[in-house]
Amino acid sequence: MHLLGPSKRSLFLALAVLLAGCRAAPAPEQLNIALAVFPDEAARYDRFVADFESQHHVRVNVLTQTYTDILQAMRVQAASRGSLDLVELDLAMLGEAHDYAQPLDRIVSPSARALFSNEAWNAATIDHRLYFIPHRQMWQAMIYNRVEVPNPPATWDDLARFAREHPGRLAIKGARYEGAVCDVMPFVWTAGGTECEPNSPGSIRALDFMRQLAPDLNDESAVFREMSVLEAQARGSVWIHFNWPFAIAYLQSKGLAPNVNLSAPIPAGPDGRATPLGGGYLAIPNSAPHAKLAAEFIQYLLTADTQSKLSRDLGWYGTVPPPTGTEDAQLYSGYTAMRPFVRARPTVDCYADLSDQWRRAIRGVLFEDAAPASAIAASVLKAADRCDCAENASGEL
Amino acid sequence: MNAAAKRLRLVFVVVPCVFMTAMLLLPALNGLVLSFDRHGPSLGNYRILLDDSMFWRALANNLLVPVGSVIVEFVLGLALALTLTARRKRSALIETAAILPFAIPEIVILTLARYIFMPRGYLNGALVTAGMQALPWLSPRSSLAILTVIVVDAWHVTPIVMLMLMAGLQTIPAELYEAARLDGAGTLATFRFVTLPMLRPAIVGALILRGVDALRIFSTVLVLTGPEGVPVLSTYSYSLWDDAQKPHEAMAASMILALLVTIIGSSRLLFAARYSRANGAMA
Repeated sequence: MHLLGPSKRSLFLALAVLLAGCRAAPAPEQLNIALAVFPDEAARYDRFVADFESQHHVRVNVLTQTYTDILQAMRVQAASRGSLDLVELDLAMLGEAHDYAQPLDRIVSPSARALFSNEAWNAATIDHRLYFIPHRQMWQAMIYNRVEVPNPPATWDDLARFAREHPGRLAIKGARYEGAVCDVMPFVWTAGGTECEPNSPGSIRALDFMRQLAPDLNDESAVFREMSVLEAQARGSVWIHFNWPFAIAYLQSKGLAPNVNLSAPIPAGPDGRATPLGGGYLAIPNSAPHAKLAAEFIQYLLTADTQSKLSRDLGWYGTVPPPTGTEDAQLYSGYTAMRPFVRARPTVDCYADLSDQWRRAIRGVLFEDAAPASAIAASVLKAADRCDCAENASGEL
Repeated sequence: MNAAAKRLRLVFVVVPCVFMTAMLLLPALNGLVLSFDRHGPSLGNYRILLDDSMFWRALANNLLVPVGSVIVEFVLGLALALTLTARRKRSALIETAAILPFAIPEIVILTLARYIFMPRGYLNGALVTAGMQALPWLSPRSSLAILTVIVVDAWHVTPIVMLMLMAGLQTIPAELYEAARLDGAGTLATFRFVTLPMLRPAIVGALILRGVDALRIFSTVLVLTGPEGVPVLSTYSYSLWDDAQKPHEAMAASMILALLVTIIGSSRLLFAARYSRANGAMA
């Protein structure tokens, strides 16, 4: 005896076929990328990776975090298992982070190397091995209020004169964080000093110049960071400060650039111009679950076409400058002019300590009227000795 | 008690204990260990803090700001509680307005406060419009900035003090006021000899609660002035962890804050216990 009649059998057969047909397709592999981007940039990045997703049949999951949190996640992942395949780190963290990252020498071709400056690659190279890939190279320029300052200062003397004539209108990011080092180090470099030789005549000369500016700086310089100084510039209480390219994009989004604010080169010192290299570097954590896929994504990024797309879609002009004649070319003219003068901070394990001591010295000179030599002797000298960074700084491949 | 009830009681004890151990005790112990770790067991992290002038400023502010804040909260909270309780006809609108600063999310109220007190903010705008001079309300390291932080912190938390005192006021029997009135006591005498003594348990409770809580001040300072403007121990520790990438020193600063809160909190609780015993004996 049949348990089911012919019609029921057909029905069950049809259902079985239907179920087999409806069975979920195997989930595509997922590449988890932790980036330190703003929410609107993350949305644009999601659109940017669509090509890679369709080419490789994968899903790219962009997680937005701060650089500090990403480094912490990398530390944790190194000690156990984790889900991050690719992480973005601040240049200042590379020295410490290389312990948790995979070497990437093999996946970077000579043509890919041509996309970024030697300076950018050298910063990513530790003990002659490449651990990081420049993701969005950027550097600082001077943001100025073109209505109030039709002729932006071009030299140290011009800057000192501007500060004297307009007390409170020049600002430095003087909070005790990396931004203070990024603002002051161009002055140190262009006076012939380096962060590794804090008591060299050049370093002292630059800090002397900063001390000369100090009385006329905006009062809030002691607490200014990227966003707060930008807010002050947008409100018109600050007319000149130094900042990263996102600052000009922010002012543009508020309708305050290019009609009110523009970018210009950082004033030249005795040895010419300099600006700190910044921006994010990509690394594949040691225990990345999809390391091969992450490497493919890096190779996808390191092509001229993709870099053009990055600049077009996200406004990241680190590799490809904005097309001439466009509004962006006008907005970012200061950044474009600073391109040949980009310089990296040393990529050493002890950079965090060295930088922290520099911040203390800078704040001592700017806000406590300390003499540069004594401020440096009180903090940076010991750190530079501990660090031995002149010897250990990143080497070329 | 049957077996099921015993099992249930065990669950009710074990679950919170596990939760407290995992979320509170273990992280605190880990923090303690980290604070004494500098390439091996050492007091080095604490020594570095003691050499940092900002640490001493943070420590001083961590005592000054809470004291100022609690005084302002208490005076304002008591005044509001007395005003609202004395009204014959209670107004929901006025009571809601009084509680509003506490009901609004902290980040919103602090951002508002920043817009009010910033150099080109609403307050300076109003001062200039009125023909007066703008003031540097948030100027880093100034006494005025400390005062601004105290006022904003108190503004945000005054409603909780007010509510506690209002609850206390409502427990005072109306007959006592009636008796005081018949004895010819004026408003001030009634307040001094009736209201204040009867309100003392609520005052002690509010001062202990806010006194300990105020020591943990963090977001008010961070939003208004940044970690360097009016540093306190929590923002100092945060800055060491986030900006300087020095988790061990940050943990040492946190441990000092925890010690401060424990000592001051315990002494206040001790005072409260003594006060209750003394009151009980009198009764």
